[in-house]
Amino acid sequence: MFETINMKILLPELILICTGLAVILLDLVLRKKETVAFIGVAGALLSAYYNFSLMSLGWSGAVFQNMFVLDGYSSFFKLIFYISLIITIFISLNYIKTERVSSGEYYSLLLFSASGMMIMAGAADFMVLYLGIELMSLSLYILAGIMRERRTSNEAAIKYFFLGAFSSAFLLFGISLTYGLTGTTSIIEVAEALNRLGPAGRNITLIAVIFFVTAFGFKVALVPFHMWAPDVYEGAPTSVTAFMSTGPKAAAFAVMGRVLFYAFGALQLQWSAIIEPLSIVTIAVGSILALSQTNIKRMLAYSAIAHAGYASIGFLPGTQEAFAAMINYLMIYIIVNLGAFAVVVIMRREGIMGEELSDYSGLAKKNPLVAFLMLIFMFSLTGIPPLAGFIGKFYIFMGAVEAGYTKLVIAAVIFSAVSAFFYLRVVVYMYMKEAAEPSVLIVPHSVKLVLAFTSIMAILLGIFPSVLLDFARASLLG
Amino acid sequence: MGIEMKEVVFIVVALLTVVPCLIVAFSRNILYSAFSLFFTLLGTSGLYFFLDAEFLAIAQVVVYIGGVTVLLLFAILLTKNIQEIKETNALSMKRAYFAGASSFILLASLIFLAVKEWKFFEAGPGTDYPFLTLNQLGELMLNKYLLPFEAASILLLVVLIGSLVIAKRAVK
Amino acid sequence: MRDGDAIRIDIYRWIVSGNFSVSIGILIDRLSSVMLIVVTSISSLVFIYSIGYMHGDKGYARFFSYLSLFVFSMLMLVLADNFLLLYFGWEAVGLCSYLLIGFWFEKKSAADAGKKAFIVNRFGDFGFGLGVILIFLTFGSLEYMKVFSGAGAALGQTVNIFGHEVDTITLICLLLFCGAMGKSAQVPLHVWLPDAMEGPTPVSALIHAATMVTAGVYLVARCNPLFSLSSTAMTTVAVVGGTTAVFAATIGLVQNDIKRVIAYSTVSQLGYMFLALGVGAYSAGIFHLYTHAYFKALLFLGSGSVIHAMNNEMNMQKMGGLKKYMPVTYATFMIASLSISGIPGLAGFFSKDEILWRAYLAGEGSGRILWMLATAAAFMTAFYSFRLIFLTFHGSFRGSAEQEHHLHESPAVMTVPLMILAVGALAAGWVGIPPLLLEHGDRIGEFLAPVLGHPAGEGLHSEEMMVMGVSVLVSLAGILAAVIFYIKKRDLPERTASAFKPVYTMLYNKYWADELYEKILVSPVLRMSDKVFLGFFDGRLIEGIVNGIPSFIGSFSRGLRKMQTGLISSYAFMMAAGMLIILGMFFFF
Repeated sequence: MFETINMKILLPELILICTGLAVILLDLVLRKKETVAFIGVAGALLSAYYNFSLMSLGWSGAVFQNMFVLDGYSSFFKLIFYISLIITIFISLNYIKTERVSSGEYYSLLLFSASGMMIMAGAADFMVLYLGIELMSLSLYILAGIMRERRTSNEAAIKYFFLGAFSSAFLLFGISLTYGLTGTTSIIEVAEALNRLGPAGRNITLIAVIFFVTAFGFKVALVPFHMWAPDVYEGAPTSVTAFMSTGPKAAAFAVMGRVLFYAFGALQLQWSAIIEPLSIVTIAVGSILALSQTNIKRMLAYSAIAHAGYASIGFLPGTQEAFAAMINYLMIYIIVNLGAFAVVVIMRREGIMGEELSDYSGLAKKNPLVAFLMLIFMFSLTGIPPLAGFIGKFYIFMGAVEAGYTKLVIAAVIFSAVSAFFYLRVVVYMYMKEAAEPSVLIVPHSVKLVLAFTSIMAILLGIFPSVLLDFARASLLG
Repeated sequence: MGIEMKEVVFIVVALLTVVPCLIVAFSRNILYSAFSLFFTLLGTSGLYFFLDAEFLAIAQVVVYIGGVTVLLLFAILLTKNIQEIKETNALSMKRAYFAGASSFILLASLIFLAVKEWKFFEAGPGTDYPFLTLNQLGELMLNKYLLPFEAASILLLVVLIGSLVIAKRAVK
Repeated sequence: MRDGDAIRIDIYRWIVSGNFSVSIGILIDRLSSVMLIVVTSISSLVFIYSIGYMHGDKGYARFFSYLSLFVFSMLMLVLADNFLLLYFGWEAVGLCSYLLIGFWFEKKSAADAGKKAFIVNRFGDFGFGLGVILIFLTFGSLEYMKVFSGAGAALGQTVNIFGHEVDTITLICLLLFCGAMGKSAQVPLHVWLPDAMEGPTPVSALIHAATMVTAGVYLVARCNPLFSLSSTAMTTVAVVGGTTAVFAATIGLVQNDIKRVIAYSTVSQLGYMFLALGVGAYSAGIFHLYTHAYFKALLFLGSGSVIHAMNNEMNMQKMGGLKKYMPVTYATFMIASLSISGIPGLAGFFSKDEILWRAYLAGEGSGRILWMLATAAAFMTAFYSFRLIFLTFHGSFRGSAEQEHHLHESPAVMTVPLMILAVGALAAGWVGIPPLLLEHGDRIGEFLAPVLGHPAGEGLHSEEMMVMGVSVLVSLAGILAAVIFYIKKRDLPERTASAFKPVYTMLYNKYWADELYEKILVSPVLRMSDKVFLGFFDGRLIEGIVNGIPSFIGSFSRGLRKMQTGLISSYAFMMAAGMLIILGMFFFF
């Protein structure tokens, strides 16, 4: 009666979910609260280990009648999620103690959110995809508001929740339209149905695609669906902001790529035409608005918006090569961004928020190493060669130029130059201004580890770009 | 050919769904809104019957009418001074007009396209839905749809944790 | 390597995208191997020397890290097999030079000198950057091999600049030479080098005498297949080189700061090298680069030893009679001075003679003028070198009693490198003895021939003897003049100075080049950079843009900001409106 279900493929997700459950239970028992964080890290590592050993054993494939897949595509994105998750846990260790957040709920929600992302990346059916998105988002809504006694945190959570629900409505509308047209929710079957139908019903399908783009555009914060991002990023705890601007963003790109390429591949020209104006407007708005920010989290929020715009250029050519450039870009971006946020996190000390740009005055004198690392991250985000950020942008632009989007790329490069102003502004504050008051900056060991990893990657991936790019290409093949 | 009995019932049920829905949106008394929601949900359940989805219709009655609406009413009754909140949020009328107009355009264009490509709908593979018994439904839930089912359970767990976080007293 | 083969190793491809690829590759051929010998030998000696010289400085670790970074960058510059990597190395050595000039940044003059070097080099590097871009546009590649092999095909191509058709190769060469002029301190971009002496003395020896400043020479020699195709560019190189050789030498005659004399000497000698390159004698230029590295590094390190003993006193008028306190420094300094003056048998003689001979051969008219310029510069070189020796080591001590008490020979860690360099200054030239004196003598010219080719032109043996004889005579005359001026008749310098007051003042003030630039270039640039460059670093420009004083972006940014109302309803409204606009775009337009 029952088909034999190959549960092995689900093992990475199951491990992470079980770790989440274990964390929330053990938090009640264990006295030393850091332990649960390390359990979380161990769970993530174990999950990653299983994921990639399954891949290397050739166990990739689909389960539950094509509801969920394990393939190179999802594995690459999962790697991003693991990095994002583990680094977030490391930078949270001291931060949530300072903010007096209870660790059991915090870490388990992080783990659940990451499981949601993994389900998203592997989803081959709209139902699974939707549930993955909701699992990820719901955990994030709570994480954004986890500092209950702070008003900005509550505000962030409420805004994120309402608007997220609003975007889910768009997503569901898109899914139901697609279901109505094709009679299936499976991504592969949708693609088959669209091929079978040919040009008939293109217009209604296109409406469904627009709904999808709107919903995913909300999650990755494309203009004009980006409005939530600055408020939420600013209000949420910094460690959560670091997480939100990396993992979930990449997860949203994962489902966006899955849906657009695999389900609606037949309408590539049309959806490219939708994303083209969105991407350039996103870059423009992100770069220009970041200029007038004085709060570093808000500045990084606009920077994240601009970067989503750059990444979405990777969709336009509709080729595998350009898409490889895009996931390459995402990987580089999340690593560098996490590094930058790690610095923002350690700026928060007892009694000092450390979120204003002026708090960075004279950092180079106080702690030259941290200032220098921040400089590397800022340079990399700007895209100054030979750092990783340059490589990411370079391949994205190159792909777009080859596909004939020359004007778009010229505009993007100009805004990239504009973005140098606000990134270097941080450097100016660190190196050229005098510190207002002398205060010590203590860098916890866990954050040291994060800073070392992210900065080394920011440099290495810039000098040896082909390693990651080849991995991205190989991932897309299988 | 006159109007059949079934169609009369459908129109009544549809009106039962839509009219209270408008009251939910426009009533300035939150208690009226809550009660109207009760009828809207009931109407929706009726519409499910018309679609031969008996299980869904019953689940709708049990969960939404029996659970959600009652919870909503309790919440309203337990909140102090709720009667005084009669203002809706400060959305300007200009925007409201715009939103209304654009929703109308969206709906109109959808209908227009649907009519224009009507043939396509008839040819669609989804026209013939199999009738599912409760047993078959349960089997599907634990077989093909096990993953969404379980994912939904994790989702609910997260909701539980979330309400815990919100309700819990601050640590020290 | 002995066979003249080049070894080219592609370490890895940095960026590959379609037709465009940038590889990180190294090229070791006979030219780069000569450069390698110079860079590695001098830098290792300077490292050893610095252990003693920088002892006790609070930036000890910082100094060595900069120095190591410099050596790495210099090796990258020399070993690059494409223009992009060369450019990276070029900028990196520039950065190190800038950091090391301003090493004692607490001292205002040092910080200013660093800034000056930076700004002056910007002029040159701007040209260089344009040249690299033009090379890519013309040849579609930045690899040496592809560019040089395609050079012949590009001959006759023109570029339209403001309506004028300009020969592409000439333009490329001139732009590259622009960079070379900046880095190698040729007139009129020479002003930064003497000021660069504010850096620690080992830095002056390594970067501002032996290696980095010769990068320009290396660049022109490396691009010889391009330069050879453009007579305009060659003439420019020769004229600039010859002019610089004389110009800097005249200034060197009257300076009193011990390091500045050597600095002007460096500028002058670099001029010699360019002169050689300009007349097509590439190997002679590289030969001089090679010998010059030893004796000039020796001079600088020797002067460093003196300064060390004199407790950071650099004015020669306050020295004198150091011979008996510092015998090793004196002896090695003497060898270097004899070498740079071109006394037969020492390194400098052979390379300088080769250049003079090649200049002489370059043509009846122009070649003779260049030769005479170079010979005049040789006379002055001998004069100021020995003026330096006599003022510093001979006579009686003119400094304070306290300084005299302090005088001592430097420790072995400093004198041993001096002695090793002295061997170089003595013998490095023996690889290039002209065939006239020794059969199969010009070993270095033969060695470099696969890369740099043979210089054109043959002359009579009698002429060559004549040129050589004149050069020896002139050197001896220079030394003799110095003896007369500074040993025999001690009042003569004073009298001459007052007799030729305007000339003396002009030379002493270095032709007022600094003041001239100050008026026409530096102050406008500084004023501009106050707004742009410094303002940028002070954050004023960025603040300006953000606060939107006149700027469009600023006000636009603030305008856009107003849309961020903070209200959920307006955010949701924006989302829906955005979606509708996209929808409208597709179905109604």
